[in-house]
This record gives sequence, C-alpha cells and structure tokens, in this order.
Amino acid sequence: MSTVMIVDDELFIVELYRDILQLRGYKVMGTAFDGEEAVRKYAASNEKPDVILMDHRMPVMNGVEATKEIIRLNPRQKIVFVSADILVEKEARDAGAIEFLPKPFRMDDLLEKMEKISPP
Amino acid sequence: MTGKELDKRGTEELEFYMDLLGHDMLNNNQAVLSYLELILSNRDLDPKVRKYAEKAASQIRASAVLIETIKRAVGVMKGGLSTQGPLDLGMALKRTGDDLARLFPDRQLTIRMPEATGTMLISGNGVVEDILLNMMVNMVQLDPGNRIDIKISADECRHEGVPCFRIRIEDTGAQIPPSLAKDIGTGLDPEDRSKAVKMTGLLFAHMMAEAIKAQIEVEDLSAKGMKEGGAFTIVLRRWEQP
Repeated sequence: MSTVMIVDDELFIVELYRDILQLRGYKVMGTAFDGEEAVRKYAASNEKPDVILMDHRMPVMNGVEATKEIIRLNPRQKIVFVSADILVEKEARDAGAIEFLPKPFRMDDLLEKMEKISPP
Repeated sequence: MTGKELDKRGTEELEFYMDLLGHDMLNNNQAVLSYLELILSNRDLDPKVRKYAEKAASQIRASAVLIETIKRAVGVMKGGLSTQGPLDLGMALKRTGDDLARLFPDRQLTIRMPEATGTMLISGNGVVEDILLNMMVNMVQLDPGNRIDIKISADECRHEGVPCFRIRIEDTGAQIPPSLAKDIGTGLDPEDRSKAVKMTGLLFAHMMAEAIKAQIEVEDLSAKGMKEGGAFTIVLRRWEQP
C-alpha cells in the first residue's frame, strides 16, 4: 500500500485529501500544517512516505522552501505540489516537485497523477 | 506620508486582502467540489440526487472560474502578468471549449469550433484564454435550455488599421439582458452599484480585454429579428514579430 504525507495549513483540505486517498487505497501516514512542521516530521520519521502532497501558502515556512529542505534530505522523495498560486509552478518544480496540480483540481486529475507516481 | 503614498498603501493592502480572500475561497470551493465528485462517483446514486449534485458541481466550477478571473484581473491591473506573445488561437479555443464542457456536465453542450484555416497567431497569452472562457461561461449561463449549441467563428479583420481576428461566440438560445450590451460598452457606473450584480465574469473579462487592447461586444439577436439568442464578439490583435 502506497503511503502519503499531507502538508496543508487548512484542516478541511487535509481531511479532504485523507478522505479521497483512503477511499482509493492509499495510507495517509502523516500530516503537517506548515512547511517547518513537515520538514521536522519528515526528518524524524524512520519510514518515509512514497508521496508528499505539498501546499504552498502556509505560515512559518511555505511549500517551496519545505520542498527544497525535504529534497535536500532525500533527493529521491516524490513531492506533488498542489496550489492555487499557478505562478509558483516553476519555483516548485525547480525546488524538486515532480508534479504540479493547480487548484481547483478535479478529483480524477489528482488520482491520475497519484496513480502514475505511486499506485495505491 | 503624502496622500499619494497613503493611496498606494491602501491599494496594496486591498490587493493583498483580495488575494488572500480569493485563495481561501478557492480552497472552500475545492473542498465542496471534491466532496460532490465523491458523491457523484457512487454508481448507485439516485438519479434525482445525481442531477442535483451535478448542478451544484457546475455552479462551484463556475464560481472557481470567476475567482480565478478576478485574481488574474488584479494581476493585469498590477501589470504583473505578461500579456503579449504569440498564442495559437485555434488551440486556445480548443482548450477553452474543453474546459467549458467540463464545467457544465449537467447540460448537453455542443460546441462548434471554427474551421481550421491554418495557424492563427494572436497576442495575449493566458489572459486571452481567461477572457474566452468567461465569455463562453457567461453565454451558457444566459441560456436557460438544457441543450446548448454554441457556434464559434474566427475571421481575419482589421481594426483601426491593425490586423486582427474577430472571434464570435453565438448561442441562439441565449437571452441577453437589455442592459448588458450597454454596460459592456460603457462600463459600469461606479455611482450605481445596484447594477453590478450580473455577469461579473464578463465585465472582468472586458476589463482584461482592454488591458490587452482588445474589445468585447455584445449582440442581442432577438433585436435582429430572431426569437432569441445572443453573441459575444472579441477582436484580438494578430501577433506580429517584434
């Protein structure tokens, strides 16, 4: 079973991802509400997630910075960047995200990208 | 601090809060839309409930287009978005038509694209697609029917001596409000905000069109001998090698 870490400062968005992904057979192994918490939890965990879903606009540390930090810790980590800020796509990809999904997205688009990267 | 500096600071703060508001509204929309899609993915759903859920999903998608448009319009006002550059009009219309079909899965939409006449390059980038999508979305919203037939044509023309393309989006079932053509032509009267309740997306599209030196016109076909119907026309500059 593929594992996912969800990083978003909105609790209802975290719950939304969890509901969609668990229904399709993914295991949500961790959540974080800002970039710094994500990096800290990622560094401390022995088992790394197959995929990280990363928001951009968050308090303390944004998604691009968090992506850079996590890729520095593990260059092979797969990060899917999901943001309403379409202008940050290049920055996100340069930081190491392998996919960018603009909000609002269709559920099928998210699942298609997830299944391509790491089937459930 | 001078009056001008205070004005600038006020505008920057307004932009900041509008941006935050748009961002939060998109997140709210995202959650509602995804939960509706989850409900719709149930094959055993009561057909009546499915119909209602599809209608709700259409409205949420249209609202997301509106928020995106406003965000883009703020960007255009700030001059932060590039508005020039070659854009293949045929491809842009195709993408926009596909987006439109996805936005209204509860309506039987037929979109007739212009016949291919070679590559039509225009100036504009992503702003043009936002404008076209808003024109099409608003046209569908003005058509009360379930079966909607939209005909899109694109012809070469000259506007004030400049080579252009005229794109016409026609729907013979649309019902054009009498004030719309006038409001698009003259802009809304800031003193009379009571009128600013309909076709917000189209009005923002009109504002963005002006920013890229294009113009939108509204035609009420019922005033031209037809029972009903309407057309939106936009004249876009042909892209010329600098």
